[in-house]
Amino acid sequence: MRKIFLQKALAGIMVGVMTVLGFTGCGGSQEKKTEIDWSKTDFGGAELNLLSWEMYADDSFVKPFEEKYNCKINATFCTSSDDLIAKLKAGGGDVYDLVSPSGDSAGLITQGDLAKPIDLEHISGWADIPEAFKLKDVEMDGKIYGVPFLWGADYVMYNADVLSTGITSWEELWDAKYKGRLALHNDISNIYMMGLIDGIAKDDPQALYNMTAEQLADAQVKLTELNSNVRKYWDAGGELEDLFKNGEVDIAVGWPSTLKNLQDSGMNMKWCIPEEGCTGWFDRWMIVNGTNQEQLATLWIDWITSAEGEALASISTTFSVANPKAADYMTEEQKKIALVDDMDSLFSKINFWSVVPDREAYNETWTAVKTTE
Amino acid sequence: MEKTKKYSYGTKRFIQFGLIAPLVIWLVLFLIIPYLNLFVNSFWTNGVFGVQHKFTLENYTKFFTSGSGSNKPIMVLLDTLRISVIVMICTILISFPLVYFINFKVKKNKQLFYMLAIIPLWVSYIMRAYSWRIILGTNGMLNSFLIWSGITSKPIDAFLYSNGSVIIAMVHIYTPFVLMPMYTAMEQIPKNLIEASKDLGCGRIRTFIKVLLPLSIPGVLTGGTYALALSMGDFLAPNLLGGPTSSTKISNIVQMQFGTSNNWPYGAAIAIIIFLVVLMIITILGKLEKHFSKLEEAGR
Amino acid sequence: MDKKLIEIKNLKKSFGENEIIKSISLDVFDGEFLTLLGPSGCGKTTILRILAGFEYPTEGEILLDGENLITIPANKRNINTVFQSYALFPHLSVRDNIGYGMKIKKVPLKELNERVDEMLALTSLEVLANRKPLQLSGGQQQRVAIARSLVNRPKVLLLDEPLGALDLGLRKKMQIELKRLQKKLGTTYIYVTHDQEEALTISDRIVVMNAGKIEQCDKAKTVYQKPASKFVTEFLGETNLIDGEYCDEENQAYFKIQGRAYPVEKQEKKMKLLSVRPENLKVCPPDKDGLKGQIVENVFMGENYRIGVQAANGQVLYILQKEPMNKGSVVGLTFDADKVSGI
Repeated sequence: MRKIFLQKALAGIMVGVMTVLGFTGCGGSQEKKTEIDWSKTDFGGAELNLLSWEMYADDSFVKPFEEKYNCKINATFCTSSDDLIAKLKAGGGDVYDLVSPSGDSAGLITQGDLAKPIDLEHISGWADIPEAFKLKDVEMDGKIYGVPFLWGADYVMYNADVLSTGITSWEELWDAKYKGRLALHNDISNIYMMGLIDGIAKDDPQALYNMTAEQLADAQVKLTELNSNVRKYWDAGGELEDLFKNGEVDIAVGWPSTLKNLQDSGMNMKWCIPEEGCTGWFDRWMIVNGTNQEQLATLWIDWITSAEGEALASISTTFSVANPKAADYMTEEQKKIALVDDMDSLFSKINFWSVVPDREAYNETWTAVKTTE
Repeated sequence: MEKTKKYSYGTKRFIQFGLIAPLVIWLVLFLIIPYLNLFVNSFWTNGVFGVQHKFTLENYTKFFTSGSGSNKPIMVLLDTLRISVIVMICTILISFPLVYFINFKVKKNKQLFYMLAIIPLWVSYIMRAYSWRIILGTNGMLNSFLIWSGITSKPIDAFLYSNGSVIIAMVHIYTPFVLMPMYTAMEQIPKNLIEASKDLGCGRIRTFIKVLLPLSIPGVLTGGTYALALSMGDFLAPNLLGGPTSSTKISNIVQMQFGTSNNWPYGAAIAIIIFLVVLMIITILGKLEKHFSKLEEAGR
Repeated sequence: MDKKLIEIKNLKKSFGENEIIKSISLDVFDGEFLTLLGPSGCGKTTILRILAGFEYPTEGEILLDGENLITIPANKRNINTVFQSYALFPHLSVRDNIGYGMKIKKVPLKELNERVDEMLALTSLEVLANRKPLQLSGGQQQRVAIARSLVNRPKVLLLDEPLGALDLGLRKKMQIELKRLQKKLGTTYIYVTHDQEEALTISDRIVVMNAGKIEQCDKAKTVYQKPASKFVTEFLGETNLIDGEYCDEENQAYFKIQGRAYPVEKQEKKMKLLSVRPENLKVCPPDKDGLKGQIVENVFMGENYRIGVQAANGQVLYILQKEPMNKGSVVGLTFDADKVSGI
């Protein structure tokens, strides 16, 4: 008698809980359409949530915005493009208002309706941004979904106290002298690097992102060989910094912001781009579909892509600016670090990340590299 | 005149219901539903922007057919299992002497010593893993000591970012989990059995082998089970302390499916497979433990 | 003259501040059934543990067969213990438990099995040979514990209150068993108990202990009939203590109670109290002088009635009768000279 009762109770509770979950799970997000008053400057402490790379929420350019519009900026960081997409999908407009994807994911986000078209009238710096920078992957049905922000190269950086010169060709990385002293990004971008070495992008830059199964297999073999030189595959810029600081690595492929931080801490760090060129990224700011802070988000983009905003961002991250007018707000020293004057030359050496149609194959290749003994 | 509280049948049932409901709800919400969810998802198809509710077996076939050689998922699983078994053995080897010492050699303040052994649990996982970086690094404490004392002349790379460092961190982190059931089991061994053994002619070592060891086995098996199950699912230690080829265990592959590789159904399938493998091992260990466990009443 | 097997000389044992054994000197004879009897905390179990080798004395000497015992570690002494809690090995069968000691001493397999079988038969455990201790009843476990010790043919068997957990019927049965085994094998038993009835039943000699000292060490009968001190008198069996005056005359000693002189055996010391056990206090017609009183209670004890007789001074004396007596009636009490003792 007791047993039957317990079974009934169990079943009843289970059904009850699942029903409740079923109903709440089905709820979708709601969109509010309200008239926007563009003269408003006080947002009463509203929160603006950013999903971005590590350095894109520095106080130097966040605080002025927070003060000007009386709001609070919260930032969630991602460690790779896949991570960014994963977080965006998981959170959506309820969690994030703005997102700053790189080239490979900006297009995906646009295609996947995860972003809203941007009201360019209110982006003051739009006209100043060179046409070449306005990559087409964020354009759909005549509407623009992303505004160029910062860009840079995944270049080679090295400890000049240990290694007197950098490398002239990517192939040198396989040299035994770098055994256990190399760090690479834990990301499929290493596969692009293999493509560059094989020269498949000479005629068609996009070939790096559309590699055939054969080319991927080739890349896998090469990268597997490189494993013996790699000390660690880093996830976050901070980790790469620690690796250099603790003397674990002497040479790495990484971001300019890491280089700057290491130099600031007193290390003699230098960078170089091998003759085959390197890959790079062009980050855009996009407004997440489903946000309830559209106006504030637009104002953020307006701020951060204005000459002054860009300047502050570039100074803080050392990344290259999208808005050349930012030079007006930078010292010679700062311009040098961010390569402002040499923008075109640098731009030409970089093969910017694009959407990888068969991302799964690339991910599998990369996983295979990390699990082959 | 006696006062007896009489509950009606309905009230009694309601109270029983109320007492058991929180437990059931908790189990349903946090155990049964997640597992069911995982199981169902492992049969859906993956789309670029999300899971599509189309039945397929491809996630499971992918597990068994993709890759080649050592990067086949099944091989990664077996390799992870190998590491977990090593962790299990090491934690047992460390915990046993500790438990023996606290139980039999410490006369006063037993609780204090026990607490000291458990305290690492109160420190966050990530902090403990990070501190191993500091200790094992090229310029870390261990290498510095070895060079300073003249034992080596150059730092040894292999201490960090290798399977070794992953194992060391896991052993450090999971020893308290192993220690606790082992201590409880050993505590219950009646001390008079040791005296009886001595009385009948056994020296210290003989007594240890013939009495203590057999009676400790249930505790060892329970503790070992914890170590094995926990380390199979640990993706943080490999991530933080593993090198180029030792930072991707089967749990990391699952993690990647829900992060960078973005293939939730596949991740769910792998998770279910890991679950079944670990469940099988735990069941075997559990049966072994029951077989060895006779300690309800020793002689009285 | 019996051979002295164990000689304990001036044994002292303290646990920290606590002096458990104050000073004990005792001889144990070969082949005897000696019982250490006393209340909890008197040190009897401690002596046993020292003899077994689980504790070491603070001071004193112990000789076994003339040789110093203390320097020999517990596992090398030719002494076995039957523990109060049996301490059977739960992971071994009855047979393996019993054979444990012999296996350690590397007794040849054939002989080992023979002796185990012999012991199984002796303790009626043949059917249970392959069971595990958990599957046995209390009485069966106790037999295994005894078998496990005896099979090694030790010189001395130490038994620490082994029958405490058994019910009355089983206890009585086991007492007889133990006695029988002891007689048959001739092992020297040193038995510890706080149950004076048990001690009286099975022992050859009893050592009555109190607070770390020996009160009396004598044959069982002697200790009962001629207790050496107030403590022993009160501890062993029930007794009535009666005030009076002792007078010693040439041929006969007397004890004057309530005006009447009762003949008693000559004592060395002038006794102040007379100890008479209820069974030795006889009813007689009441007299002007001497012991007399009113019946105040009848308690049924099974075999007898324990009847309370209240004297004029208020003290209640107890006697044993087959039938209850009328409350309120007055009786006189008397006793035989040789059935009393003095304190």
